[in-house]
Amino acid sequence: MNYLEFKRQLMVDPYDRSSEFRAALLNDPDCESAAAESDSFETLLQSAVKVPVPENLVDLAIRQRYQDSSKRSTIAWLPAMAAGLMMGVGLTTAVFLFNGDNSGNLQSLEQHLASHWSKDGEITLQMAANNPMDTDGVQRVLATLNLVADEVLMDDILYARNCGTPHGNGVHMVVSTNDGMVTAIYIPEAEIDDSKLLKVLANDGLLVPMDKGTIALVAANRQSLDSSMGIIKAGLHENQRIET
Amino acid sequence: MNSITDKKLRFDALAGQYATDLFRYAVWMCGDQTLAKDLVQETFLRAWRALDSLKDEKAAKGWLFTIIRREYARTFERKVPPLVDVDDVVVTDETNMEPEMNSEIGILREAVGKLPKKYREPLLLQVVGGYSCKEIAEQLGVSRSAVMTQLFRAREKLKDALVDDVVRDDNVHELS
Repeated sequence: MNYLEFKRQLMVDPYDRSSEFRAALLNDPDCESAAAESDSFETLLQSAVKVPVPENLVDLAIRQRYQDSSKRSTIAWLPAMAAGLMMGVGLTTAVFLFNGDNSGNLQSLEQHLASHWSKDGEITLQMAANNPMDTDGVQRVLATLNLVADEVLMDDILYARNCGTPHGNGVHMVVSTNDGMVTAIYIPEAEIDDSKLLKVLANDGLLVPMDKGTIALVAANRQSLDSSMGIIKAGLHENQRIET
Repeated sequence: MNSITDKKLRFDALAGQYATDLFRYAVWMCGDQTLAKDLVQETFLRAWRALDSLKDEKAAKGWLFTIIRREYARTFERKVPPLVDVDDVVVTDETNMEPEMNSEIGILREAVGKLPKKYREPLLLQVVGGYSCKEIAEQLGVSRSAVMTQLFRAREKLKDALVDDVVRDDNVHELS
């Protein structure tokens, strides 16, 4: 390693001291003095970025698990229901039973979803990733269908816009989860009796019955569907507020 | 030990080990202590919910930094925090330092705060997070050579800031 390479290494990664670096340090006085200068600079830099940390920071971090438990205890029925739902879906995928009317609904719903997704599913995901909306914008879109999202869900919604459904208007949302982005399409007029797993082109899909209507979830992996379903079902409601 | 107790112990250990580095990284990224604290809390909330997906404890640091970077992007890039003076953000106990060193740290601090994000982020991942160039490249989804260039330029700008200050001081002395 020559002197110039040595200097560059100090500027790029002074903490990575390879055998070549150490050899140059031992054998070249210019390198030795450059290293000493760099050490002083790095000491200053370390001090400069050393921001004082709130005393209770670790406690606050640990408290998150208690708060999450208590938040979830208010909707304690949800994980159990979700687990049951998923189990039921898994067991009955092959022999999914529904009555004649719902069969028609379900079929048209699946067709609509496939067509909707192929038209703008990927593009909308990209828009959400590149230009996430602020919460006011999301809330405005939800309000067009008299919907509200709770704080937890609102934090996760990156994007929302109105979209066409088989018989009216719905909302096309992109929701962020730790397992990836999930597309959630709310179809107010569709009523289904039970959740159903399906394939939407190359993606996994899940139809979830809501208090009113149906949410169709589409994601690149099943894990994202599982992690988003509970949050969406618990967090999306009709606005019950009565305007006076 | 049952699995939930085990999970709690794992989580508490992660919080103890990484909360400080995450907080410092967040402060420098968003420029606001309160927002940074919220960001760390949200990161650990999400970490708790997804802890079962963390299979290798050695990957915990990278996993947490990925969560906080994503949280920062999701939350704070769409709600631009108010601009604050860097001295209001970072106040450390420097009573034991030489006055000259204090002054240099102040200059560096200001210069770090003024670095463009593309230089500041890899530098913080290296200096605060302790990442190698390869790991930073993976975190940021860019090439290793791009990271090396960004780190070079970041340090170059910081060193220039120190030199500029010395030149300014010399000029003041000559005038007086």
